[in-house]
Amino acid sequence: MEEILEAVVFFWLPMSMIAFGAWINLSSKDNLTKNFGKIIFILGFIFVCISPWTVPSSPSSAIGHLIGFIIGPSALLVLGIYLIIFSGNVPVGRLPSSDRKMGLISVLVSFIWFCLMQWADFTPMYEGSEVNNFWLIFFPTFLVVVCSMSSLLSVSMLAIGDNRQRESRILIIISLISMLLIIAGMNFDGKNISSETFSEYFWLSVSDLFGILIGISMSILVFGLVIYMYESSIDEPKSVPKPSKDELILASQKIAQNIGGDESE
Amino acid sequence: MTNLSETKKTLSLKILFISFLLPIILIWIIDSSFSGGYSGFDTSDSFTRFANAILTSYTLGSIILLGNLFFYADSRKRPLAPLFGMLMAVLLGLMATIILIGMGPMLLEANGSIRAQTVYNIGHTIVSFLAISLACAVCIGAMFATLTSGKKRILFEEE
Repeated sequence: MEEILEAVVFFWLPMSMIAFGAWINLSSKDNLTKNFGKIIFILGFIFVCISPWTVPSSPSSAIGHLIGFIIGPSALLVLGIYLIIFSGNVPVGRLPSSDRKMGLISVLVSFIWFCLMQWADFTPMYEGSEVNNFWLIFFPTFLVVVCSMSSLLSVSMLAIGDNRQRESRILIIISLISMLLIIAGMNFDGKNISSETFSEYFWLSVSDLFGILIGISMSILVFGLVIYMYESSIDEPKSVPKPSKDELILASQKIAQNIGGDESE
Repeated sequence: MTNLSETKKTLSLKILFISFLLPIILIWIIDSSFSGGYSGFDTSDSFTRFANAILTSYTLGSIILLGNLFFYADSRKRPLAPLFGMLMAVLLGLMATIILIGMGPMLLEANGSIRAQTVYNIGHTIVSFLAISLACAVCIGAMFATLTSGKKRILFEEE
C-alpha cells in the first residue's frame, strides 16, 4: 500500500473515529446509539495508540507513540485529583477519607513520572534514537497552561470568592511549582533533552497557545455571528391566544391536586 | 457614565487577564536574567507557529462548531441557512490556510509542501489540545480539591 494511503487508513481514519464517536455519544439520546459512539471512540483510540506499529513510516504515528507514553501518568494524575476531590467535603458520593492519601500519592507519582520523562531515561524516544518531537510540544504546553491557569484561578478565587485566601495560596503554589519546572527545564539538561531545546520549544508553545486561543475565539465569534444573523432574520413567533375560562379552571384543578402536603414545623 | 459594578467588573477582567499573562512575563524575565541578556527565542519561528496555530485552530474550531449546529438544529426546524454560513466559515479557514502556506516559506516549518505542513499543523494542534485539556483538568481539579478539602462552611445561621 502507498505510504499516504497507509497513514490515512491506519492513523487519520482512527483519529476521525475518535471525534466521530465522541460526537455520536454526546448528540444521541438513546442508549444504543450512545454505546455505538463509545465503541467507535474506543476502537479509534486503540488504533491511534498502535499506529507506531501499523504505520511506522508515517511521521503522524508519533502522536500515537506519545499518547501511549503519556496515558499512564495522565490517568494517574486525573485519578489522584478525583480521589482528593471526592474524599473531601462533598454533599453526595463521598469517598472514604483514606482515599485522600491514595489520591495524593497518585498525584505525586504522576508528577515524578512526568519529571523522569523530561530529565531521565523515561523520555519518549521515537524509533529508538530520537526524542519524540510531539513530547517537546506536549510538555512545555502543559506546563505553561498549568502555570498561567492556576495563577488565573488563584486570583479569581480572591476577586470573586469570599474568604478564599487559603485556596488561593494553594493554587499559587501550584503555579510556582510549574514555573520552577519550566525554569529548571530551561537551565538543566536532561539525559535526552538539552536545556536549549526545551527553551526553544517552550517559547514556541507560548506562541502556539496564544495562536490557539485567538483561533478558537475567532471561530466562536463567527459561530455566534452566524446564529445571530439567522435568528434576526426569522419572524417573531406567533403569540399564543389567551387561555379560555375552561382551561383556567382545569389548570387550577391540576395545581390544587399537586400542591399541598404536610405542614412543616 | 458607567456604574460602580461595571467598573468593578472591567477591573476584575483586567486583573484576571494580567494574572494569566504574569507568569509568562516572569519566566521571560527570569530566563533573560539567567542567560545574561534577552531570552533567546526566534521571533520569526514564533510568528510562524503563531500564524499556523491561528489558522489551524480556527479551521478545526469551526468544523467542531459546524457539528455543534446539529444540536442547535434540534431546537429549530432544521434550518439550512446557519449550516451553510458555518460551512462557508470552514471553507474560508481552509482556503486561507492553503493560500497562506502556499505563498512561500513564511508559514512552512521545516516541511517541504503545503500538504505536509497542513498535516503537521493538525497533528501539532491535536497534541497542544491534549496538553491544554490535561492542564485544564489539573487546574480546575486542584481548585475543587482545595474547595472540598477545607472545613465545611456554614452558609446560613439557623434562627
